[in-house]
Amino acid sequence: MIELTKLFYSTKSRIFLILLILGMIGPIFLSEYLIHILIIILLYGYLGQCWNILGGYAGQFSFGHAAFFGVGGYFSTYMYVKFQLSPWIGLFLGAILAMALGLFIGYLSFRYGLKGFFFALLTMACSETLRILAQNWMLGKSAGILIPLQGSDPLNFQFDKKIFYYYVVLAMMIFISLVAHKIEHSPLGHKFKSIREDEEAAETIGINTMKYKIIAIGISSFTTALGGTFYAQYILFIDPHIAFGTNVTVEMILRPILGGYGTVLGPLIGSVILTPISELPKYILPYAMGIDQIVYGVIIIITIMFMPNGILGLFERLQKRVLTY
Amino acid sequence: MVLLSLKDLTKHFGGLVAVQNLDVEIHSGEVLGLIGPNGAGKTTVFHLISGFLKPSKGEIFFKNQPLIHLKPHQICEVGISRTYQIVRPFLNLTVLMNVMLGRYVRNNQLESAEKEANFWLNFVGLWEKREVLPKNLTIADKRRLELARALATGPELLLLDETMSGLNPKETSDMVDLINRVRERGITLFIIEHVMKAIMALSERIIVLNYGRKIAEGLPQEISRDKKVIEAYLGEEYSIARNQ
Repeated sequence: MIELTKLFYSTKSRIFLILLILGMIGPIFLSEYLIHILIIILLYGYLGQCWNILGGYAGQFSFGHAAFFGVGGYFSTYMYVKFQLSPWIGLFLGAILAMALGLFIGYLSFRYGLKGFFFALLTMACSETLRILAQNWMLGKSAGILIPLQGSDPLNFQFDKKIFYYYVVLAMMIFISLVAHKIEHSPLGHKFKSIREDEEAAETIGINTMKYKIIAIGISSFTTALGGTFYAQYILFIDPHIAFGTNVTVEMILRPILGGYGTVLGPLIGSVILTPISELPKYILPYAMGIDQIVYGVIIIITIMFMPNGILGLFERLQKRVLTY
Repeated sequence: MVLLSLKDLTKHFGGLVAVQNLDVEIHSGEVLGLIGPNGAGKTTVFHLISGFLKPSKGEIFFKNQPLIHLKPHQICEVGISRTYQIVRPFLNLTVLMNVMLGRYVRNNQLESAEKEANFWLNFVGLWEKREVLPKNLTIADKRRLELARALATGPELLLLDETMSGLNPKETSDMVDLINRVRERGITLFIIEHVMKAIMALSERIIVLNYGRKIAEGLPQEISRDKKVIEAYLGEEYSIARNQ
């Protein structure tokens, strides 16, 4: 908590506070559509940061984070529809289940030294397996599960006005940013980064890389699942493609990569830029299907060629100053 | 007191025998040199000691504790650290952060680890550059960084792998002084080196490896006159002869 009071002292923190206040009050004056955009920006910013903890900080690139997202979403939804378990509880339990899955995949991969490409493949196999299972075998199969519309039912995570969903996802964004901030400025985070930089060298100086990679995937999978529940409750629907499709994984990865991986602000910045860019063409040119995918592709190419460290990396290079937050 | 002992240490890579029936004893406080032509298996020995390779045969004891079933990070905890032939600093983390990471194995508190890291940075002469990224350091500074990081782990035994590689004569001489200061702190050193001048100056005893076998062991003076050693080093005969 003492760190929070330090927030009042620097200009950067004051800007942050102003933005926070704007963020809390502003949306009251916005249309439902704009609030929807903000919700998507914040949700993918949140999910991007969840992925970032494993991928950007610890350097383990997962290509199957949809697995955790989907487990969270499906679990809370199923428990609510079948057993009337409040999604607020389902949220938490689903995240624990997703974390168990994450720890399992993590243990399997890291025990056998899977890295880089092979780790990415394994995680992708995991999310794809879950998608096929959900499609053919269980939980409503391809049709998915519809959450009954109740109008306003806050105890069961349903709100009649979008702005309440906005406040929930804003709180989630703040929460994950605090987690990232804590990681960034702690021995834990430093160790994550050392594993990212050079895993063998990290082992040589006494860092138990297996343990820390498992911790990273544990945190990452748990928090990602919370986003899954939120999304299911927001659109009142879940199906195998939404839950486990590579779409979600790609969106999660693009945010930190564009904004700056291994940083606190990166995923949010990435989302602020990327989300409107994908939404806007749909609005302006509704007949040009898939234009957002083309835009994404171009952005990825530009990012890899000119800004491999993302926008924050570019900013750092331009300013030649270490931006820690 | 025998700090580290290698008994009948052997390592095969398929048909290739990298290290054969190696017996070595290192005494506490000693500086033991390890020399031999390229490909003799010297770095393989370091990999075996530090836990990155499992021996095909033989044993390694550190203070009478067997090492071969330990993971590399546990070997560091036990008190053995190493540097690499080709430096491996954490490139995107500052010099200070690199050394702090070395400190965490002994002290997991951020503030005090930072203070202790600063001590080691001062020791090697890198304190002014603590906020610099390693990619912007000269090779000499990178080697000093790697040394500081290894020292921060608080080792009793330090394995130095060709620390002089890539350094000019002035830098080499500075590094020799630095290593002597490390020795004065009571840290036992096991040094692989090609630069004869340096290894002769630093070592109390030298072991010579060729094709994975120990072919000679003794004082620097004896080694430089040993017929088998000169034969192994045919190409460097001149530089050894100069040291006689």
